[in-house]
Amino acid sequence: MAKTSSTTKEGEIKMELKTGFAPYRRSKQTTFKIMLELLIVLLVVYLAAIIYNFTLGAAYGLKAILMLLVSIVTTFLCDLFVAGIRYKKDKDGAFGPYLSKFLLGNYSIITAVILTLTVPIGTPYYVLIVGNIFATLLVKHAFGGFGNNIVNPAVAARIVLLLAFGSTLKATLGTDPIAGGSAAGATITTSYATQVGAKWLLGSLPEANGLTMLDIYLGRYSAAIGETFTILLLVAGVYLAVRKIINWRTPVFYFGTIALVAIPLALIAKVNVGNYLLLTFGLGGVVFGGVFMLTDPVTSPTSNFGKALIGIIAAFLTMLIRVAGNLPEGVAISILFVNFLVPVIDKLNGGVTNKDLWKKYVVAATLGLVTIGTMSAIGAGKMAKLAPGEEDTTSEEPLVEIFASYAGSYTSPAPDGGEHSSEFTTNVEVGLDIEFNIVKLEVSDYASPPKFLKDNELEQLVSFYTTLDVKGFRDLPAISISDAGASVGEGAHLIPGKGYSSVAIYRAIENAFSDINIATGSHTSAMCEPGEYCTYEDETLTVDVYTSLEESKILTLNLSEEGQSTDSFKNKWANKYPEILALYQGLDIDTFMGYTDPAELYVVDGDDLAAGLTYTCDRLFYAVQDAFMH
Amino acid sequence: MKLFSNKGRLRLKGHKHLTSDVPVRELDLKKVPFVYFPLMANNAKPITPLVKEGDLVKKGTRIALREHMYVPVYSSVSGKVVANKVMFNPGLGRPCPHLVIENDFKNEEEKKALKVLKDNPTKEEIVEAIKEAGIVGLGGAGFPTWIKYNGVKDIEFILINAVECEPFLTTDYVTTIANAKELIEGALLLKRAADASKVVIAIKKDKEAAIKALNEELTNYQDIELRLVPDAYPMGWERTLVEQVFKRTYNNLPSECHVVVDNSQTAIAVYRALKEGKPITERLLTISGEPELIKDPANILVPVGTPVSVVLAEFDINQDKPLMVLNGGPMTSTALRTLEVATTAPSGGYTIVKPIKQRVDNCLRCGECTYSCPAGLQPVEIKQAFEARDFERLENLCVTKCVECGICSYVCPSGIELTDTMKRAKSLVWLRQAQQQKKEK
Repeated sequence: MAKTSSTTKEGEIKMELKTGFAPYRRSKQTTFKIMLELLIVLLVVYLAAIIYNFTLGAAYGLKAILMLLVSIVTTFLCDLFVAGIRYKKDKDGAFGPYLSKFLLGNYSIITAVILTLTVPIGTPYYVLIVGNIFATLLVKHAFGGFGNNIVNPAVAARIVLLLAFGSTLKATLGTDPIAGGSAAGATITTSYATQVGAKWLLGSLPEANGLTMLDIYLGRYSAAIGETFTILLLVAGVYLAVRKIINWRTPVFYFGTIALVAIPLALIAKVNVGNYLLLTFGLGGVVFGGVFMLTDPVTSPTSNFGKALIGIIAAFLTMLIRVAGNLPEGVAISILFVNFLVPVIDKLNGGVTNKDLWKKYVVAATLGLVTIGTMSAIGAGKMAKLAPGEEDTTSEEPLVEIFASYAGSYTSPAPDGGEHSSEFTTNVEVGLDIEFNIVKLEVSDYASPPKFLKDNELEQLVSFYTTLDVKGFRDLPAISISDAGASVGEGAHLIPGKGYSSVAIYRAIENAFSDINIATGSHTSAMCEPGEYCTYEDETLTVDVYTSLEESKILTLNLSEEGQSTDSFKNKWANKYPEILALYQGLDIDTFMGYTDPAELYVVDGDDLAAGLTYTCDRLFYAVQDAFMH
Repeated sequence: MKLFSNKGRLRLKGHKHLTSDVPVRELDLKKVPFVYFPLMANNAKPITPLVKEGDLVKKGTRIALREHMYVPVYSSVSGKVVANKVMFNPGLGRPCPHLVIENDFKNEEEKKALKVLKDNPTKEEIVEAIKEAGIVGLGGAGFPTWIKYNGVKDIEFILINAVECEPFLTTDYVTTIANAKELIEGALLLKRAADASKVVIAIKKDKEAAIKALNEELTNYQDIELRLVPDAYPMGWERTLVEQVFKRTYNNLPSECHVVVDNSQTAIAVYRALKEGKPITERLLTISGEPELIKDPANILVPVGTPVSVVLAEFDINQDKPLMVLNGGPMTSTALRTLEVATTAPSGGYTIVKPIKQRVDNCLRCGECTYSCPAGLQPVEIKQAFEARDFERLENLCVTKCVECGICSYVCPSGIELTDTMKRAKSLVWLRQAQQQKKEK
């Protein structure tokens, strides 16, 4: 900027004139203010997440706060590192102002907060640190800092974490149950997505998770830290769009296309359309991704048309991955794909923006129709693949493997002058898991004519039976049909008014289990030598041993919770147990009883499988032997 | 709010109240010892002097002629021609020789400076008269008016641009109120020159006094109406105004959609030249700016050719801190490096502002510039193509359509100098096109 003084002849004017570039008025809005407002909104969302986590427990709330701090500090250090490397004294002047300009101009803190919001609470700190380093150093600074990255740093880092550390991304701390999740350790989103054969197509919530739609939208369940409180996210999205921090076209076209795809899918799958729509937005990262990650201006096209296009394309990919793919969550990957498309979209969008608008409308509409059409076709294809005729009689889809299957049948006698004029045979097939819990129950031919037991009553029975294990079934009070033709006995397995069918099913299952014998044994072992200082207590292990009467062999074991292992060895034992259990399964009882030392069972081909866990393994051995000694 | 198209408008603070109701001042002739006339036009074409050193001239004597597009220049004072002086020419962008007239303070007028047009002139006579009067677009562009009407066909409307969207300037507003009748009469002459069927005067809807003044006069006339336009920038740009008033677009010239546009003061100058025989010798300038810097902003009538330093000496300007003097309003002007520059007929005024401080962030690709560009261009893409020197892409992005209105730099939150980049990109493209034309010859 040149500087000159100017005087008139009389010397009246002596101005110091400055020059610069036109225009000489500028808008008050600055990038710094935009990013600051975005940061505040993100922190509000995070605050809500912290509050929710405190309701789960102090450890949760503290972890939430610490995770945020760890992320912010990691990105700050990365920035510092890059600033140090890039600093050239003659070009950049004094280090202090250069550093503050660098830190304030790169807005890495936003990446830190967004990344933390997309991981679940159980993520270990080291995983979070790796993610932040990847996002800041590799995705952002390697390309030239803020404004130059091709892909969204938080999205790329999130996907890397999913691929490299997927198993550590748990939604709880330790072995606590997941709020709103299923017992087998899946979040509600995962369990919803992996329903056998129809990912994201069957639009009802698994009841066992115990959540209502309102719970979903208020975020009263655990998944990623920031993506659960849907209502708050939508409010934040509206606020940001109105304040022009984000461009409204991207989220509107994203959510709109998803909704337009969800409606025909719901119709094809014959589920409640409204419910399905609510679940599509309520579960998973759709709203969070659509509001905070897809709208990142650096990785969006610059024209409004482009911004709308990426919404449509991302919606296509999200629904495609959810319905046809194997991953429970498609949002991060679809955003990554779309980021790669952005330079192409910009390049193709030449010329002026106010001519040939019809072309833009045509392209957008065509893309939208192609999306809806393709997704509907895929949905129809998936629905056709679902095996027909099983919907009415299957129980809740098991998330665990079926270990053993037993078939049984029972022929009900025909009473004189009763409603049943002829006898009928009920066949059942019972699926058991490795600990002989009933996980599957199929009932066929249970009554003729079928009007006697309604579908929901059968479902009720099936649901009840699948909460039991074989031992629990044996403990049920017996029910039967008396000579007078009325049912005798009581319990959840007897449906009032439907005695014949209830009894038939009960007896059929009993018949299925006829070969199974249960023997219970226990063993208490001292953890420490007498007189030794010990922090452990003596533990008693109780085990139900399931054996086959006919073949006189051990089928499987069911262990009590207590006595399995001490806390410090818990993980080790959990990893080892399947191997140990396999030794027992199929073991001939006489052979087993012939062993006098646990080593005879556990040492296989010179390998001591019980090494490192001798206490628990020995205890188990003795407990099983104890079971056979009564 | 547009879905895919550009909004192309901005709401700006006009600051017009600073000078709109303040009484108009007149520069005392005694304070203007010399007047200066550039001898090179803004497009670098030469202006040939018709007098030499020592000649005596009166106010209204023809002193120079620009052969390219035939633009005669008339003296604004009576006096003696003295030696040429080289001065900075802001329109041209570099110094050039100026014709200097030493004022004898007698204010003698040339008796028959221009031939007065008789009643019921033909359109050729009107065009010829405008040509000889040297009338140029007084909205700031300075384009020779007669060329717009020369041989033009199929014109439906004459659009009189009284919008004045540039902040701070009120010269059009004030002259419209004071000379409403002359404006209308001049517009009707232009209508005749183009054989148009109607005249539309466009003015911003919040300019109540001007609307009132015009409406009072319009009751006496037919085929001429007033159209109110919203208060937005750049409503005064030809293209935006034609689209707003007539909902029509064009590629290069408004005559493609049967419209000819002229500034309100040009219409007044046409009337004065053709019906009173007076060429343009004075100019009403708006001297305004930020209140802390200039205490008594006002419109001031000065002879054409007065140095800016003389004009600004009339005002109470706070010179303690560095400041910027802009030749025009803040959006489309340049900051003067020296006050020794001559005012010209199309000068709108001079604005005193504080120097702007910029904080340059990286482009965050928000797309605000693209959304706001009135020409529908994509400044972000142009910037990238310019930095990559990708000529094909620059041409594909139609960068030569940029009118440097300044909106892109204004809205950019990262403070990137987009308008300047557009100027450079345009130069590059023109240069390249000229080189290619040369190759083809």
